Amino acid sequence: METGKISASQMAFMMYPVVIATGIVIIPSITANYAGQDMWLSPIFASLMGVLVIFVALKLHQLYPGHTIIEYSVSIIGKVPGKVLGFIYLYFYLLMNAGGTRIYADFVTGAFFKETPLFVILTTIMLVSSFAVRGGIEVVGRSAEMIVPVYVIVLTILCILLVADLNPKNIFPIFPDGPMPSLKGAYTPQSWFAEFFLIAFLLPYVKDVQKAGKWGMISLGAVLLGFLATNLSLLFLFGGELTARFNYPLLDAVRYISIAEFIQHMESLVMAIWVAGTFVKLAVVHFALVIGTAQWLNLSDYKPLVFPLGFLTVLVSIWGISSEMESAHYSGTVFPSFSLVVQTIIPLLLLVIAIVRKKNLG
Amino acid sequence: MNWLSLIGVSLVVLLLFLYEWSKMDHTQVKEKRTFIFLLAGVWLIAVMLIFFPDVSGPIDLITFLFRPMENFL
Repeated sequence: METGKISASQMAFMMYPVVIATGIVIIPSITANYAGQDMWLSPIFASLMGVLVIFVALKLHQLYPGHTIIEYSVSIIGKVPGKVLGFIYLYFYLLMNAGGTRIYADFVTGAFFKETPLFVILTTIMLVSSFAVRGGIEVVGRSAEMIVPVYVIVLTILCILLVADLNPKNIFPIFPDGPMPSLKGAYTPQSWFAEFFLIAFLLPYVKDVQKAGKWGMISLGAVLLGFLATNLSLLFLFGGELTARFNYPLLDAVRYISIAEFIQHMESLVMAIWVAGTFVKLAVVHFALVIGTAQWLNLSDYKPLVFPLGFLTVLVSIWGISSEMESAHYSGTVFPSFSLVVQTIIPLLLLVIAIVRKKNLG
Repeated sequence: MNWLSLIGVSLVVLLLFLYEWSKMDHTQVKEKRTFIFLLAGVWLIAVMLIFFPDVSGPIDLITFLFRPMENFL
């Protein structure tokens, strides 16, 4: 079906924006809400979830090489339950991408294009991502390889420009109420780290699959560094309480940058990397959704599904969510539970069943 | 305004159809069937959302299912 191949390093480049692109803008304020000045610890706890799902996805792929989760769920638990499970995964990734598109559009309309209708922002980004997916996985991989380094460099520059205004004393006291607040603050980011389970859809197309584990961990480490750098910068700049009050604290922090009244208005840079990163994120998740749907229906080609499913994603992102408040509530508290079940618990159970079955057979 | 949106959505669906249909060859019967079914479904949902924007959607289902978890936080 998909004849294109990507390298393990391209997979790492693809996974980085999947987690970071939406996470970095809305997660810090949600984390700060629960964890206060311990907000910088939460991503560290949350990243353990990423390690777990990468391990599970790799193990499952070792047992069923060349297959995605839609295919091996049928081999593991039988035809009808496997197809039902496959449907749950497609439903999940449809909703995840719709959620991502919505976060992007809320941010762009809320912070920059205040008069532009929401659907214009939603459809334009989805259209671009759909074209990339239609070009095949190689196109998505190469655009990620091109965009992500720029993304990382700009993010680093922004953090460095903030250094003059930082007040490291905001970090104290550490653990004023014990470790519970920072663990609660990790609940939302764990679902973003669990998005690394998407490699279950990419591994069959990775050329040098033996390096996939290493590159997956590198990508995870980069994501963790990204979260740590932003959370620490925000904590040092605003403190935990104030960060929780902003919708998009990173944007407010960057607006703060003013060096010699010359280097100013850096928020346009945030906007630029934000659009580019979201493009890669949506394309990768959309690829997983489309290839999964084609495999679920046993089709010979996935390309005809790209645009109809892209349209559906846009519709789901506005369906029943009328306000930005509602959308933020969904991303912050409902989606993490859904993700915990679908991206962590079910794959773990699948792995256990698969190992037991293989042992009994051989 | 609603009718204008309806025409817009129909136009987009028509364009998608024309773009994709010419690229599928005649042996791909199952693909064509799925494509038509999906496109028609998407068009119906879009039309429904234009006239009844407050209908509960797939995200509401998940919100309903996972509401008990909120108390835990």
